[in-house]
Amino acid sequence: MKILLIEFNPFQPEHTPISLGYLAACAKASGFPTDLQNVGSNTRMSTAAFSRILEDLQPQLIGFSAYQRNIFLVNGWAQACKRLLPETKILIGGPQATFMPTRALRDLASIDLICRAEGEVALLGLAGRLKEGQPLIDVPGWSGRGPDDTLWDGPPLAPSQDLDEYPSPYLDGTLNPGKMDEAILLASRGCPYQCAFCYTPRAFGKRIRYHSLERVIEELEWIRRQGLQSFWFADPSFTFQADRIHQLFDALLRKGLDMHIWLETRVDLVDQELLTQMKRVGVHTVAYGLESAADHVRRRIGKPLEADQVVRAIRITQEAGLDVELFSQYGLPGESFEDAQGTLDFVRDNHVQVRGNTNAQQMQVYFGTRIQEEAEGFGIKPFEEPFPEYLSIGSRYETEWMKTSEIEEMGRRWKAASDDGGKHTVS
Amino acid sequence: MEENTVYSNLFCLCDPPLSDEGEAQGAERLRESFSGLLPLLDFSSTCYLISRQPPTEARCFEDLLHEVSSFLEQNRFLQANVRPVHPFSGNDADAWIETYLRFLRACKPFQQEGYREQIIARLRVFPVIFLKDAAAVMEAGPFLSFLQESFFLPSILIPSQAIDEVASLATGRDATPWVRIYATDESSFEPERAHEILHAQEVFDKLLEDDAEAFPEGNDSASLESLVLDHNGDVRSAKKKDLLLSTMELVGTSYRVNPQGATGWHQLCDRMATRFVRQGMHEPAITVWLSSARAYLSGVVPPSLLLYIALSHYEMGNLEKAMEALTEAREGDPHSADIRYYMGQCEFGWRDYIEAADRFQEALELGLPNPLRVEAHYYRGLSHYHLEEYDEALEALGEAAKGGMPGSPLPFYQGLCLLGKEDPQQALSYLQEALSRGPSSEDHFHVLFYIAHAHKETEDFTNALAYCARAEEFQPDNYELWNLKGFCHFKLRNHDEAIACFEKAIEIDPKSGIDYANIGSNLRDKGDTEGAITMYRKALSLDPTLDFARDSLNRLLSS
Repeated sequence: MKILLIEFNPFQPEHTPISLGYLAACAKASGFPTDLQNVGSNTRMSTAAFSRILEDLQPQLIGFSAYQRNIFLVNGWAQACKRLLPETKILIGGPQATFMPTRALRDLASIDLICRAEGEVALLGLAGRLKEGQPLIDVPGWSGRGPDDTLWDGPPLAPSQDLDEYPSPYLDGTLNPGKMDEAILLASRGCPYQCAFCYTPRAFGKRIRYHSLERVIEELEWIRRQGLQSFWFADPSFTFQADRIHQLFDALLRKGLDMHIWLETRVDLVDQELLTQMKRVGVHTVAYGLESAADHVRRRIGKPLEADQVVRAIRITQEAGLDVELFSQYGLPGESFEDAQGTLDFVRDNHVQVRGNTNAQQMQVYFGTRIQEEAEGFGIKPFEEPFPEYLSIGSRYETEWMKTSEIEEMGRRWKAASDDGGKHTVS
Repeated sequence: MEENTVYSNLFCLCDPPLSDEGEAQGAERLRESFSGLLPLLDFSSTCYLISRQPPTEARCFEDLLHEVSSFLEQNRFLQANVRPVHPFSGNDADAWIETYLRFLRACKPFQQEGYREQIIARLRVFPVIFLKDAAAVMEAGPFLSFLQESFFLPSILIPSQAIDEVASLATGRDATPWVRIYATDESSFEPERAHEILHAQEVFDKLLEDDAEAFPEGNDSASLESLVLDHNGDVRSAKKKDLLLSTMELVGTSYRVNPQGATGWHQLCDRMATRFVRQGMHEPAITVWLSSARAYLSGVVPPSLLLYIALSHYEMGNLEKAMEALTEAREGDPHSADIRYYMGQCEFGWRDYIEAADRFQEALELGLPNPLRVEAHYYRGLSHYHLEEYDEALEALGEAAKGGMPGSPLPFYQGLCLLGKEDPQQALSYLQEALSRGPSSEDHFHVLFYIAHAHKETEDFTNALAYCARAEEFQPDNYELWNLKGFCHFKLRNHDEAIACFEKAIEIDPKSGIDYANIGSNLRDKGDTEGAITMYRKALSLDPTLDFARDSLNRLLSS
């Protein structure tokens, strides 16, 4: 029973496929030979080359990471897979899939299954059934198409509460730091906050689960030994437990690892002491979710931080010698054109360079977010043209406060203000 | 063409040779070959369709566009840009517009799909129109505007001598009806040259995006994998060893008048030259940097660029050229410590140690940062050592040691300085340190030899001989070594061994008078007076300045 997992993101150069890496590591640890194919904008991949990969591997399961921007193209890959290997089951998982309506499968004829639960446990259950020749129907953590083309939703499937139960994709050799510019790591999963534009609270049950510090340190040390120095922590609120982070950084300082670290957290989860320690340990950039500079907009989207908290966090971060990145968006509920312009002004007034993640983007309305589910209540007016069931509202909306032309104008203004041409793209 | 290679671009030279057979047959063969190549293209690729035919004969464009469209329809994860490349004449404007309207119909399903799926259309057409001069550009204005309004954002290919005049047409306008200008060195449309230039542009553009694949390490050519298909259905790889260098002036010219601007060109040259340097290819690196330098129209070239040029000359061993560039760089930046440091390196290379020592000192005083700072101390120390200024040398080498300079050469030269100061006991500890640091195989002999030498100076001849034996493993035919061994054996009164060593030395250097004299002394001490006299005479015939041989000979003759 072979598994092939494919990360297809043609909008950005290849980056570490950390989520699929975890899945592959879990599958391999349970005895399922698993390959991982990472395709980015800089990957050379032809139809002939892809066919050769499939013919060589002959996988029984092929899984794709699905995002709003790549789902149509993923469906195209799935068609190609089915042409060559008609019996192979094609599945999708990831942020676009988790809360996609099951009826979307009607528009995705070559995709058999949608992952609804944490991929590590869901994949093992599915692969186990396939291996034992059991019918793939009502599998926990999955939705799918039945034999008579009816659609089914399996029962929910709980994730592991102890993240260390998932093997490390670095330590087991699934991900090779020798071929990376930067290692993406997860010290925790989930977020307890309730931002209305974000799918994480619903996906992870509004709580955080952690890897043990021993595991995080072991991964860092091992990757460092492979010669890689750059680390990118994908945890949404890295410093949520300050004591834990102090312990982690103390340990890293004792070990004298020479690292360059990027991390993300909230403005109300840092202080001078922590930032000073970050600098010592090798953190170069701290990214904060600003979203909007307008207090009333942040309150409306469920992120009730006060402006002075944001300003203070930026200041003390910069004073600690760290670069600041601010995630921000326009086209938010309650946000006027002047408010949106105010966010750009705020970023510049606080001496934050408009580059990388600080390049703002129009809010993308994703499945699983409160804004997708209660669009009208949030003042979001989706365009009337019909679009496929597998797509959420995305960027095809205007708001009660901003017309399409104004949203587009903000896009132009951010791009003009950008120091790197606004290359940042959403997924 | 390699089946396992993924190609980023396909250049299709659509025109038949003038004497070709039936046109219909050739077009069909081209279409079939083209279609057969599509599976080898990258999931995001560009197909250039190049023809000099008038629109009425440009049927191949539509046929091939249709092939791409069908292929994308079957493989819905692919994206392709199609770039018709052709000349334009005002007389053909209507016919070209008709042709492009048919292209528009072919593209429409993909535009609708893109809108529905919130993705960029998977099939897009970006024409490249050859126009021979500014007047032709003016004449083509309405056609170019039509293309732009139809979302076929056009580029223009024009002779380089016309580029400034064409660029000036944009002055005062908010927007031009073209998105990009390419420069060619042909005054008329030449498909093969157009292909070379556009291929080079692809490579340069990727390089500017910092796409490592465009120009991978270990490759000295335009290696963005491309295929060229001609009208006969013949396929070849588009790699050309000198393509980048032969087109870079044209690319530089076009960058200047495009959004990339001169800054983009300098950035690109820097990336390309840096990659050449990493591969040890300094000559092409210099060519690229000189091209970058020429693009400074004011004539004022940044000192940092001159420094790079100098470094490549230095690496090639051309110290004169390196110094020339460094001198010019110093004029632009008199306070650059780096420039002084490399001037010092050139002077050191010339063995002009007095100047070199001063230059390294200047670099240090100007605040040269590490790691060069440590290097500057080290080379300043070496310069003083060669000048036999051992105290200054030891002071400088000590600074290098404080800076944490690794490796065996530093303690080795500290040891040599102490030998020069006639302090062999202390020299030994530095030389032993050099040995413990694991010298390179090239240096290993010298470290062992000078340890032996230092032992000799302390009159520990037994240990000296032990290190000589180890040194011999690295350089068995070193004259100095055999001379030293002979001397130690002589001091230990091992006269037969000493004579054998001096004989070996003579074998290596038959004109060495002193070794004959040394044999003479050993024979004398063995009581072989006649043999000793013969050897002293031989020694003096080779080197009459050997006073000790003359004295010994006189004493033997008088006794």
